[in-house]
Amino acid sequence: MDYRTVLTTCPYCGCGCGLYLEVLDNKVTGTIPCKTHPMNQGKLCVKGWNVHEFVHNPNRLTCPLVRKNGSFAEVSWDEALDYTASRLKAAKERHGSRSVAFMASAKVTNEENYLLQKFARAAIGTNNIDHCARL
Amino acid sequence: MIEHVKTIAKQLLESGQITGFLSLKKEHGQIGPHLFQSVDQLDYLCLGDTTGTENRESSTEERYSGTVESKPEIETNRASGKQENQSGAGKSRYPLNKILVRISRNYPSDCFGILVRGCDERGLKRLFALNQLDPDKVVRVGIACPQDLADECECLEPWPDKWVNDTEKTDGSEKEKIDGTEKSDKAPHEPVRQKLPCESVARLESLEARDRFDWWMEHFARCIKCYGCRDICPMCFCKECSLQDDNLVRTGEIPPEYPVFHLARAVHMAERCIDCGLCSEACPAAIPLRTLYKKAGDIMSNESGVRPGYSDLTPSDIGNLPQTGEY
Amino acid sequence: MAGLAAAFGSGAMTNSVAELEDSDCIFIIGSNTTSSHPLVAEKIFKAKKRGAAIIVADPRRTQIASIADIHVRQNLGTDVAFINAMMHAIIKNSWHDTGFISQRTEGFEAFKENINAFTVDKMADVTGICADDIVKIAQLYANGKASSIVYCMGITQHVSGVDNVKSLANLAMLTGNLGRESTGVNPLRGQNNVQGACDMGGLPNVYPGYQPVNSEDVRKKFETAWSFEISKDAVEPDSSEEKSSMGLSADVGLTIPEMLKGLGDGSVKALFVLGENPMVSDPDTNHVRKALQSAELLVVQDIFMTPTAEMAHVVLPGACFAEKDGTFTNTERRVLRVRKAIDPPGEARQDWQIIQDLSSLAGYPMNYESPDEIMNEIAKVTPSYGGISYERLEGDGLQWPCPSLEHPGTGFLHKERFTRGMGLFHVIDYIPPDETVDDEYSFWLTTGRTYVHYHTGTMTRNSPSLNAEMSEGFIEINPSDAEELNLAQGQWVKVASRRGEVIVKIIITDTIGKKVVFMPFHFIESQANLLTNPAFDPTAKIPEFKVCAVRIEKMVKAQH
Repeated sequence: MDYRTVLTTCPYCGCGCGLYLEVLDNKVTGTIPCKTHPMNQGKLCVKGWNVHEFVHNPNRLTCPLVRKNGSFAEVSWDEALDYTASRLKAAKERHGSRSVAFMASAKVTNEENYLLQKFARAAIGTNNIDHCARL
Repeated sequence: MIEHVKTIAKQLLESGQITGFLSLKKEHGQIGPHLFQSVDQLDYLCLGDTTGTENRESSTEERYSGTVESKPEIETNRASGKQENQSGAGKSRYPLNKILVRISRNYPSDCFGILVRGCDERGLKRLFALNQLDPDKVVRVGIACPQDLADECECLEPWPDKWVNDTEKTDGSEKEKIDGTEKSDKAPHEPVRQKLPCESVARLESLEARDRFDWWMEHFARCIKCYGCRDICPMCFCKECSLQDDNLVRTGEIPPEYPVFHLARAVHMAERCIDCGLCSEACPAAIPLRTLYKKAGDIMSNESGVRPGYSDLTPSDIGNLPQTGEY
Repeated sequence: MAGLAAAFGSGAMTNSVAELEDSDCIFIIGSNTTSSHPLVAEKIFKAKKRGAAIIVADPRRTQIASIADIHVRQNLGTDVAFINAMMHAIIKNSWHDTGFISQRTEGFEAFKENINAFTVDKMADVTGICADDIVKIAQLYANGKASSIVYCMGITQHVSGVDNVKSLANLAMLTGNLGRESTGVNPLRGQNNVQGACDMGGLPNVYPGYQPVNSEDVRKKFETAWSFEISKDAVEPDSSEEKSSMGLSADVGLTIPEMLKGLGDGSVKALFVLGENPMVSDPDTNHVRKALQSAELLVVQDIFMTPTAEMAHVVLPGACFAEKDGTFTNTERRVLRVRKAIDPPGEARQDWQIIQDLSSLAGYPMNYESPDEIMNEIAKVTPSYGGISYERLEGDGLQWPCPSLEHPGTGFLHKERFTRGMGLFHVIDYIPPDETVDDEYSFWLTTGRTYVHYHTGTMTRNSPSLNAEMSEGFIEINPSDAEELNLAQGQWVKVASRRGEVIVKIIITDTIGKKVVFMPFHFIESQANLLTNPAFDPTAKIPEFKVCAVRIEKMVKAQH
């Protein structure tokens, strides 16, 4: 058996409450608010309390998909990444860097946003990057 | 005290008597629940005191203005309730019983050790009686709460049947008490409340019924329906919860219909609540839920002579109860 | 953000959330705090208990409005008129802070002259708020020793969004409620890492740390920093060629509305979407759908098959928060750790690894070992994150600016001077909403969140407990309007705007004013954004989600 609690930050609103995810045998089974966290001191809202529930939802995406003949086909990572990178490169070469655009995300981490804008700016050569701060 | 708890946990783990020891851990500068499954993790064990790494407290203060030279008069502990360092039972408490119930459901044949305070032990007794835990599969390591915390909680019995003694204050007797197997013959400090109702309840009792009702309604109006009172509660384990029954409480609105939402829970708590107060601490709206459930407990005990978790309490011990169940 | 940046030099929340507890007066405008930021509401509750005056301006009687000392309902889109009238009253009664104005600000005279026209009586007609209330609110706010302003999307999601924010900045400067504890102008960030996505340069005009893309010095700095990475890790045979041809673009890029327009007119061919869902989150869904359909390549990296992902050519399965290490930056600029609890499901991968591999395949190699290493690079190139490392984030995290390893972080901004030097008063005139009601579309529609669901519902609607709490969309309508339309509680109605129509159940409630209706935007099957107006603020490019004109028709037959 393996039971762990992992201290992390709630992914819903901008409050950034501290919480422990309960992990029993590699399944996230519960949420416990962190008592000593500066933002929430042991409290959460209804979204925070249930944050573990969507993690193992069977609707989660588990395999890369590429559209073939109108519908999605499961493919290997190599194929999905090659396909994506070559098509992005082709768009850049054929229509210029400004023909490629990126939506970054207010949902993913700082590190991931940093890498995406670096990818857009350094690899593709465009400043066409934005996210839904406005929404 | 903490070293003794670690020693006992070590013995229990090494002897193979338990699969894990459920307690608190200080890691990443915060305190949370943890199941100690190996001896080498025990360095991180803590009893709920909230002091972090040595330099953190001062830097929190400086952080406020962004400049090191000016320190506005801010309590460093406001944001997170940080408090003095102590090796004893601190204020950061978690529903360890609830976690134990969840683990035990998956591992019914394993035996677990658990850190218990007075309230936790009352909870365990109720959970044993309600068949949620098997007493043969639970090894309790008791600690007593400090006076200030006991006062704050208005706790009727802020210590378990057996507790690890504070060695700094005893001489010679520490060895025999270290394993916590002997029933202590003396309370660790003065009993906190021998009189019922508690002050918080009595204060409300002194109000006119109408004012009292308004007072509660004003509090309930802030409820954001997080269900935190239920979700943190070590005694809530129903598979279907009446709070989520559409026939009882309309879904989809905040504040939830009140007082029905809060009274539905209070009625349930009358036979359940072991007065740990975790609900009040978890409430983002600062609704004095503990006071509400203390009153529910008073009514219950007045009517039936039973107070959940206090197996030793007989009706005559409870003493000075209000004479009517009206509230 | 653009509004605050123009006034103060920084677009972030000026103060910390916990400071709200010690405010004397909290002026909440356009924030449904208990639903959207419950743990901020908690601090407001505490302030109220301490005796602080709570003022709420909102067209709906939200929960926070119901506990307020004063709640006023402004007409939709009239915030500038309201705030200017408050300032008119403040100046007229000499409640302003002349010392602060002369020492810390500029542009006051022109501002003051403009305010002359905004008399309380005249603005009472425009805003629908009675004159006495405007004066009372002005007095409470101006006379508090430490007064805080809290606002959210109800202020920014207007064609006049930047003006609204600048007006609030004016109000705070006028009364000296800045640069001290428990004061400030405090925008609440709607999403967990909006602040971080902005900080990290997920914006078309700035690199990480708000360093402008059209500054040559900045560009050189990043060219050096990033090409150094290439030379260090040069393994690809063609990387030297890539490197020599690499020069970072000086052109400001496209915002999301402009990207969608570009897809429509063919100037944008490929769109890469990381964890966003414009099909639900953006205004005028029919327009968004057409734009996405014209993409030659649409790549969506997400954790669920969102309506946007369904339209993609490639879908890349990423990891959710429980499956990754990293950091989020919360609304009060606090950088907080995210820690990995479990592995992603199936073949799903860490998002940073997916991006890194794509970049390497596209000819710009990246070879990070861990998010920790990425943060070290962020600290190197981002002055406000200069002192941040995973080691230092243990405990309570750090609030930026945190420029060096010794720096303790910053609880409130603009202490002795504003980021831009002097605080700048702006002359703001009232501009009515882009769309107004008429005989055909006679109701004002405003949109927002509920306490249960979050944004486009991708996560919350896949959570059984939350879905049980609220499983379908609705529209709130005032009892007198319902009576006029002969509608009963729970009945289905058709709601139509000039852009689309939806069928939805009604909730009759007096929390909403007359001739105003409210819809949450979480629900794809009764989607508010089919109706909303994509007209946006000229500076911030924020669409006017909070105001549009609709018609409501009774449905003859029940739906579903």
